[in-house]
Amino acid sequence: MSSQFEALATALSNLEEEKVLETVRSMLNKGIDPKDIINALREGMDKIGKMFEKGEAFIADLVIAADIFKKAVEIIKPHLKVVERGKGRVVIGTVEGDIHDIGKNLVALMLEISGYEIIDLGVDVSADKFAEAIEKYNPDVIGMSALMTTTMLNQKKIIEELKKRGLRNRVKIIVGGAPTTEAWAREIGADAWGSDCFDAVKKVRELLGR
Amino acid sequence: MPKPKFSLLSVDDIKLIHEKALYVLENVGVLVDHEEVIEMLKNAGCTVNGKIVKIPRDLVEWSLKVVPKEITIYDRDGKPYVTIGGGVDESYFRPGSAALYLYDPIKDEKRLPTTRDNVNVILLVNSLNNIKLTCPSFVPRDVPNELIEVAREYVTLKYTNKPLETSGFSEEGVRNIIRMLKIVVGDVSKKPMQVFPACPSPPLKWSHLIAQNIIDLAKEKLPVTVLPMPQMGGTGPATIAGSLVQHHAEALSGIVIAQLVNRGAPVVYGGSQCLIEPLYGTANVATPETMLLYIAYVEIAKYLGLPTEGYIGLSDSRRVDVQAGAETLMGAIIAALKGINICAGPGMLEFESVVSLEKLVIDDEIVGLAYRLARGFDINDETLAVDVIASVKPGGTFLGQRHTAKWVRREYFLTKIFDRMDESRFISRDKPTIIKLARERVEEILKKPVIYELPKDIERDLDKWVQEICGRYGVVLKV
Ligand code: B1M
Repeated sequence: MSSQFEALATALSNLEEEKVLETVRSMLNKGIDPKDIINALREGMDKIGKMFEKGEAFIADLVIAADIFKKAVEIIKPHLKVVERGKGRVVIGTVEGDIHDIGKNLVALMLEISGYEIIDLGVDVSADKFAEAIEKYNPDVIGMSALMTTTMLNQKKIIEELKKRGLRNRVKIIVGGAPTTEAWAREIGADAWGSDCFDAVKKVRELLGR
Repeated sequence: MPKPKFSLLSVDDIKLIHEKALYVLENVGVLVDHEEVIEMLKNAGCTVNGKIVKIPRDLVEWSLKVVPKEITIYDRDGKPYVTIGGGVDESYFRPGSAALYLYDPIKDEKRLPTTRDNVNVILLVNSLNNIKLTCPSFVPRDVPNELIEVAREYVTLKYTNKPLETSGFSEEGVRNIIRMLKIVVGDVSKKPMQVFPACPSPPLKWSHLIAQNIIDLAKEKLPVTVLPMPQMGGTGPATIAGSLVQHHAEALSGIVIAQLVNRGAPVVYGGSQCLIEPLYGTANVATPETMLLYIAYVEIAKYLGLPTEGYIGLSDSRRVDVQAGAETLMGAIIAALKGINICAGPGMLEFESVVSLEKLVIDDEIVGLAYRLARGFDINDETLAVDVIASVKPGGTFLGQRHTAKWVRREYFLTKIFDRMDESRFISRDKPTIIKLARERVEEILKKPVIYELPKDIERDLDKWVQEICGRYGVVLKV
């Protein structure tokens, strides 16, 4: 990576918002390929993601980095011919009846940091809403979080509903949350289970092969 | 009798936090995901915009005026058991609740819990003197979802007369609990034997489920604990003062809702503090920062004259280990010294998601230590013991004094599990670890359990109701 890209990546991992956005604008003015700029930004995200794994960055830093990344991509978007999907598009939500969302947010954050595009449906998400999101966003992966013994059952119900509507095979499905287990994921016909946010990224990577 | 006491907030601090919370309620508002509650709040003078409800100060002040300052909780037999609030600085512990897993420290393994495990918790607590209130700690996995609350309530009502605290996990679940309580105690509003925790969803939001729970409970005048848990640095500000303002605003909004549903409905001012660990994202409940939040909101609640509760005297550790002991004792001491009325914690591990029976019996002892500390000591002629000192004389011994024989029995809290053994007995008992001693105590209690049986006619009615509802799901509940 050339030094200007490296400087951009470093500015992002240092959370220097103005510098990142300025650099992006001036690079676009100079006619630099938007794809290369995005790659440099990804590099920066990767860097801060690795720092988090090593215990050198805090979650708050990750959220801020992801926010700067999004703003930069907004600036770049009009210059792109095809819409960027990153390594893959993930629709994620906490299932119906459940409002616990910190775990889901962490998983979404780590996926975003790792280069996936995230569409977060929030909490208390019904089968209907997941189905609509599949039609609307055509995602590669559906992620469902559940924190209660009672609501984990809705992961199963939602998968059954998606099957009924003929949508199940259009996506890969990953589930997670404190009461869930690998065996549960298998039982309900999900494609993967994530024990925590790092594991979730690993599993999504395996599912998509990228 | 001098007792160790400490305080954190000045009256000015309390007034400031209270003002800030009122400001938040009036200007930021709370999100209420429940039409009926929104309607009620609107009719009481709140400004409503979509689901955001802004609560004026005079409504909060009215609610604080009409909410009962004291609640007497009864045992299953209808006898007054404890009184909380009303300036009472006593704390009553109960086991940690709604665990997803049971931890076995000997196998060093977590497993899914069953109804039998809840029976064991209830029977253990019947024999644990420092755990005054009870709770079916586990969410059992051997019954269908629809019967989880029924199964938990059933074993509790059947085996103990201790009052309990636990919530439901669904609207129907809470209603089933109320139905069962009515079979056992009749008019639940007159002699409440159960307290129900209800969490706002931080920041500043009431989910449909919990709002509905409050309606159903307040209508029956069953005590609800409003239990905010802003996760510092996640769903609450990272600063202790900021999370305190949010906590207080959420608590006040809960009190308002309960009073609008039914004026005079009993409410406990609670909290289950936690902190999102900035490196790991885990929800830590037993840290010095969360302890400061407990102390602070409890002081505010006591200033307002309300009964208090905290999820305290528990640990975030995954094992029954040094960390578990340290964190549990930290909370238990604070709870006992501050007089947090209801303390939910013993037995609990791993960010409020796991309970261990061995930890439960160890924690009974930890709570005993905390109680002993909080009790202080008497100062009078006899305890000052000047005449004994004089009769022993310089260089003598107190070992054989009558005064000694009398006061070792009164002054000391004697441990059953914490190892204070002499070398010979330590060796003859095979150098036991605390885990082994705890397991022995669990087995010893469960071998000859104390059971408080229900009067036969009531038991018959309860059995009939339970088997009927279980039958609908093709389940036969044997406990
Ligand atoms: C898509 O792929 C994936 C892959 C991996 C995935 C994934 C998805 N989702 C998660 N993962 C994984 O990765 C994440 C980390 O890397 C991990 O996510 P986690 O979510 O596990 O971890 C988070 C990072 C930190 N963990 C948390 O934030 C959850 C902590 C605990 C203590 C907890 C909290 C904080 C809360 N709660 Co609630 N809460 C508890 C929780 C106990 C526990 N330790 O689980 C639990 C889940 N709650 C419980 C209860 C009972 C309740 N809660 C309630 C409310 C709340 C708060 C709102 C106060 C708050 C949540 C705030 C929020 N915005 O999220 C109520 C329900 C409200 C409702 N309407 O649904 C209420 C019903 C209490 C009441 N009566 O009011 C219990 C459930 C019992 C059961 N067996 O079902 C509970 C186990 C605590 C307990 N022992 O009582 C992994 O699981």
